Amino acid sequence: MDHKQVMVIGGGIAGIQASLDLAEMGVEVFLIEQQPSIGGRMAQLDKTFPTNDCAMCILSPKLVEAGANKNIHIITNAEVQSVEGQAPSFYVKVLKHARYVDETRCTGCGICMSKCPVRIPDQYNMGLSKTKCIRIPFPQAVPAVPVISKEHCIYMQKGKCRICEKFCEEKVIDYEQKDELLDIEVGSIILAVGSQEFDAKLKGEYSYGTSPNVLTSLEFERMLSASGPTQGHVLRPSDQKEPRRVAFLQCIGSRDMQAGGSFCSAICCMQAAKDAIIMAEHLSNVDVSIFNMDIRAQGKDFDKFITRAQTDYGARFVRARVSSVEINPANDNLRIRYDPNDGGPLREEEFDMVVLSIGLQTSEQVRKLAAKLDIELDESGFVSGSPFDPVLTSRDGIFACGTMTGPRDIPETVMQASGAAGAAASLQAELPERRIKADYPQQRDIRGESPRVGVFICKCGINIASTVDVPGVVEFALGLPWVEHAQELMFSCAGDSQRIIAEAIRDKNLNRVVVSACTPRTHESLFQGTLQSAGINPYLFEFANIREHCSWVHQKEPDKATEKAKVLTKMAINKVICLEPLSPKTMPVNHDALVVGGGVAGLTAALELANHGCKVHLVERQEKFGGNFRDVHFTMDGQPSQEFLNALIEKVTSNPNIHSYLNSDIAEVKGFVGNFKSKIHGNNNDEITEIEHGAVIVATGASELETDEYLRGREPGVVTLRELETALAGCGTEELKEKVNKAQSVVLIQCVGSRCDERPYCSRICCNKSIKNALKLKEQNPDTNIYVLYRDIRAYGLHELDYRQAREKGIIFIRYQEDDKPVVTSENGALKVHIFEPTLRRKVLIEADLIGLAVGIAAGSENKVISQMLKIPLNSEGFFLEAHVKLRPVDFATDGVFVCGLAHYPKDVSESVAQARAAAARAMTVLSKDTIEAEGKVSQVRAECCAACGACVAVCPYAAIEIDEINRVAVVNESLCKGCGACSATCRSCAIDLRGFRDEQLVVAMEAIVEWL
Amino acid sequence: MAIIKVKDNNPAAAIRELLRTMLEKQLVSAILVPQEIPSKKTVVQTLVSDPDKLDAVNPLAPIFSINSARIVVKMCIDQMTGPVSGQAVSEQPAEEKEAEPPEAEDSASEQKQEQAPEQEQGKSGEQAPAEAQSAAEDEPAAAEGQSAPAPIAVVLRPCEIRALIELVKLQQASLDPFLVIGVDCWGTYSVQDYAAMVTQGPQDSSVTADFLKQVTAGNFPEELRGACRACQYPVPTYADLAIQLIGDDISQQIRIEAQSEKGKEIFNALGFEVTAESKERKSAVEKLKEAKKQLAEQDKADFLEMISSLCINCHNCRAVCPICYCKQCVFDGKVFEYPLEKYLNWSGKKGVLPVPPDKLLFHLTRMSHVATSCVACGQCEAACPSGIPLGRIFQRISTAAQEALGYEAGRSLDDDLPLTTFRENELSAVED
Repeated sequence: MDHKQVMVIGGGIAGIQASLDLAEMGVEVFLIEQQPSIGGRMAQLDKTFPTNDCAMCILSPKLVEAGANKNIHIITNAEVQSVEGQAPSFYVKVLKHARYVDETRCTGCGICMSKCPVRIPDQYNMGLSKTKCIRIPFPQAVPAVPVISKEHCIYMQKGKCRICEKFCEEKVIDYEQKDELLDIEVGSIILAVGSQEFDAKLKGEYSYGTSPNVLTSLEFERMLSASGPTQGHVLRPSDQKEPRRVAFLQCIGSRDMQAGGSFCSAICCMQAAKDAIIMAEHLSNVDVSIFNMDIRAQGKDFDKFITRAQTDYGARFVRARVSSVEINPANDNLRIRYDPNDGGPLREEEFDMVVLSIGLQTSEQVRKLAAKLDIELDESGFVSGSPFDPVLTSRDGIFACGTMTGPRDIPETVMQASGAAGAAASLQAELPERRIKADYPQQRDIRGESPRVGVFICKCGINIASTVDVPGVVEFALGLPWVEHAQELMFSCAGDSQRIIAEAIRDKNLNRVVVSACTPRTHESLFQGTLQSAGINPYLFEFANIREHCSWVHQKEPDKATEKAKVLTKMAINKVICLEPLSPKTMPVNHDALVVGGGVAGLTAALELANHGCKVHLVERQEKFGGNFRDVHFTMDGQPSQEFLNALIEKVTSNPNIHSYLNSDIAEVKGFVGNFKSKIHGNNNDEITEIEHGAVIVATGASELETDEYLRGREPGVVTLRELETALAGCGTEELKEKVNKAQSVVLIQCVGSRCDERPYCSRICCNKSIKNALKLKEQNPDTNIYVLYRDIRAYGLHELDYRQAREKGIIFIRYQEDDKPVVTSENGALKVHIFEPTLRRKVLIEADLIGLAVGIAAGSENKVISQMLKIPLNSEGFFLEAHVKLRPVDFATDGVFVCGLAHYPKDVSESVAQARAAAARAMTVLSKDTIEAEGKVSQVRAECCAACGACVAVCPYAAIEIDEINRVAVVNESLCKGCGACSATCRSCAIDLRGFRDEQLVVAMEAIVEWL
Repeated sequence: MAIIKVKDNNPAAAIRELLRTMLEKQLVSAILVPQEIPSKKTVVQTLVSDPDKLDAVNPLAPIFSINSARIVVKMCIDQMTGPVSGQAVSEQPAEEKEAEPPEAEDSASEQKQEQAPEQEQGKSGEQAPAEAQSAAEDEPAAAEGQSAPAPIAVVLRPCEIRALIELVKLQQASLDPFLVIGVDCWGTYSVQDYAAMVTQGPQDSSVTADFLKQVTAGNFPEELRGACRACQYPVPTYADLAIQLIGDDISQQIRIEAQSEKGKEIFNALGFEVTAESKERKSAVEKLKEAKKQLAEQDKADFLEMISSLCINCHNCRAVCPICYCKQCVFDGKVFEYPLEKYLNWSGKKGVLPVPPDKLLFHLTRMSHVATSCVACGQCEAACPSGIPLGRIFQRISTAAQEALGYEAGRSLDDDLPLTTFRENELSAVED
């Protein structure tokens, strides 16, 4: 059989992203989730750093997409019982626990939930509020089907009640439902079961559990959230008053030998800074103190975010580990005691509320699953694959991603998820016949028909109906011209509602449909699909938002809200009458790819694409492949790095699908997604090779900064870490090797050229690189004194373990302040380092035989050229700016172009590999297809009106408009146009129409308001 | 920078002689410049290619009948279309445009003109620096067996140049074929006032001379156009050659300055003696601007009411506006044609409906379209048959809009047009 199926275990953001990518590559997915809904931890977060995007707002479209995708089978409330067989044939037994509700027929109306008499703690809100025994876990849950918790149900425990069954109109409650054992055969498996939070009760000294005013960071997230127990109001639990002083205690259960993990949880510093900012936005008068050991802001734009928290929101970062939190019985305040590290006595401060930044750790679920699957875990309980390739596990055909491979933030999780999806998919059936298409009936030709509008008003359970008089709106709609049919729906998005809408279209011969419900952002495509299934062009649909724009914001004025719902509905009806059928352009896809850059990221991406069966053009400027990694000689645990690199290069150069172009540059890229035409310029022979390809991966890397700080360039004893590592590995000049071998005192200085005004970002890898080289030095010569001078040691995640080891081995770490940097002097070649030692509180002098500088990473200077060529943006530091920092970390707004490796931001080799795999997987979502369909609602230029002034070209974010210089007219590339309408709005000549939003269509919609005024 | 002596207290004549020399030496192929008509009642723009036909030239006449940026746009329509055959459209047209020689294949007569200056320069061996310069300049063209044609000089007021700069940025004009000669401007009269002054004045008097006498003495005639009274741009913001009057005793001398490479070439070829800048000029310009500011502040009309009551929807303002560049105005399309039922509906709502209904909307739309590029030349006001002070309205609003966006229309070719590039702190002043 051909294995076109993958199982994804775990339905958090990692599992969802992996499933979506697989589905888009044409692979069928079984997504197994233990909870009753997919969504995972991200669904509980309020905002996300460093952009402060609302977590649910960016996650929920993915939930809906996963729920609606025909290639994804979501199996919730389920766990894997056993796995047999081996790649490429795994036989998995999945135990699907009884939900006591028939998932296939439930409409998710929520009546049962409103009638159930049993209140139980709401796990979604971390127990800070109550929910019902039968409940939909959270409003955006997928599937939106309730679950009964058997242990709380009065009927199932005591035999009486059955209230939910009585009120259920669809009769889908089934108290007799049994657990079900499913047998599923798949070709590969992706593990994405995540991690769990540290149990703060284990740290008794912080009064968690004894004082209600001590919260965990996750509880606090729920408190900040508008959908949380206090609707986003920050109130301290003991007296429901707004707190004035709030303390965040970092590293609770992280970097801790006694309880929790001894590793760093990697995300808490940023989470605390984000919470401080959000809280300061909620409460005008709050002082936030964040007690930390190091501020670990190692990600893209993280340092700027920390600075913003300090300067714009007044957050105070205190470098101290708090020893205890005591309750002041007089006022329920909390006394914090800590050592300020300034030589002075212990200090005590009082706060109204304390938030414990609890760490991540592996879960019992991970351990059990690992045992069942025979997967190796590391000492901390995380899945340990290769140090170079984090998505691999110890077993072929099984891949891992997300926080079960170690603590990491959302973008890294998403990168690994896409990477794992690509790896799993490449083991599946050959291209091209992977894609499953929804087959819709032939569209009815409605030309010549007068408008026959169907109007569906959604109650959204009680979301709309409790404020808006829905029957009143239905009646109003029925009285409007051209309306043939109007009715209310309990949940217009439910599967059953789609059947009702489709039937109404057929029975009443409707040719246009209006749904008054929620937002087109998440639900428009659903209803468009319904129209298609009923044989109507999907663009003859109009959406009125009577929830976000009406019932939710006018809860206290139901009469006016109803009035507004009528006007919004009438606007949609007026507009739908003027809409016209649209047929999106279909374009063929070239299946070849161009990879720019032949470092580890580019090599990995190229190899991955080739494994999928694509032809790859791999272009490298230098004479050899390998990029910066050629100067990396050993890993943290001493494994030789060059073996990995050489094997990778060998695989690439021997792969018949990969065409290598060394010593070459990209001279020109033209075209668009699926249809690029590029020129590769050979730098030796000046030859131009023209290629055609469907996608581009940018892996152009970055470079080590040049510096003259700390006598670099003037004293031979001042070297970069790269030179030091080369010498330690026995390469490099004899002179330096001897210097390194003989050195009795070595000083490593961190943050050279990073985290300064000129480059206000952390270069991410240097702390770990210094620790690695310091350990190697110690190993080679245990008597050498090694000093690391640092600002914050950013040994994030599992790197903390190496930091600990370095300290245990006697390497001395001395902190310095940005405004009091160490000073290096030389007296006849004898190097001296002057630094203020904060613990001793005095200036010290270190005589050094060798000084290693942890110089930062600078964005490649050629990035600008590439960015112009591909029409993709750079950030202010010159790194490529991805489409969305959280959920689209390798994509660009320009379709068909992807980024990975240091071109995106400094990162270590395993992160580069994960991102390269992700970029390849995302590219495969394009390259797996034979054709792609453009947006239907695209811009259209009326040539006779166009003055070719170019204003539209300047504002188009997708580079989808060009001026045809011969005919002096703007031309829209429909394949690139996303229908944002910026061009149409900016055109002074009104020469650009956005299909589906033509002036006439908008004017008739607006007339509905004008008439009402 | 060079000084040009003025004879007989007639600076206009000095400019005329300068232009004549340029034509005679074939440094320019033609000159766009205003000339007085025989009755002297007005001036008209002319394109002069014969040095003997420059006698009535008077760029200093205080009359402004058309913003000549419009004429320049018309003249370069064929220059705006890209390469026709085979050649790929360049990736960065803005950068390459300057490097490309203007197309020369169009007509035989142009080719003749191209070759003429070369021969001329070859004969007159005295102009060593100019020759060296032009030889160097000609090198790449010579390789192809052609040379760039001599440019067409366009003599423009500051507000005309600013409009032209905006139009270049809006890709409606190209500067390639032209040599922009900017002239300082103290302001102008309306066409009617000017004609009346010519008719009413003594037989041998000159309106231009009287005007220059007054303004150089710091007096501004009552009849100065509204836009000119508020004008803050008396000197060219951009020119290849700038003719400078302010700050000098123009009865004795005026100055000429080359402000671009193209200008320098011509300047050198004219063989001027190089002198230092005028010391008084800067403060004189500032003083003039300050005086204009005070004049503008005296203006306190209720503008909005004037529009809605006086406008007759003739759209003349649009026809003369140098910035209104649309091929077809949205107000000429179907969007603003309504069925009778709609008129009755609107009337029924409030009991009375001023008709035509889109008077204010027309002006607001035009304002939103041109505000960021408006150079406040006041042609709209001059064209208004109802006497709406449109120039002053647009001046006031566009100045505020441009200030808020950190933009000055016509200041430079390098400033991005506002609202096309995202700037995080843009409009923060307005938000607060």
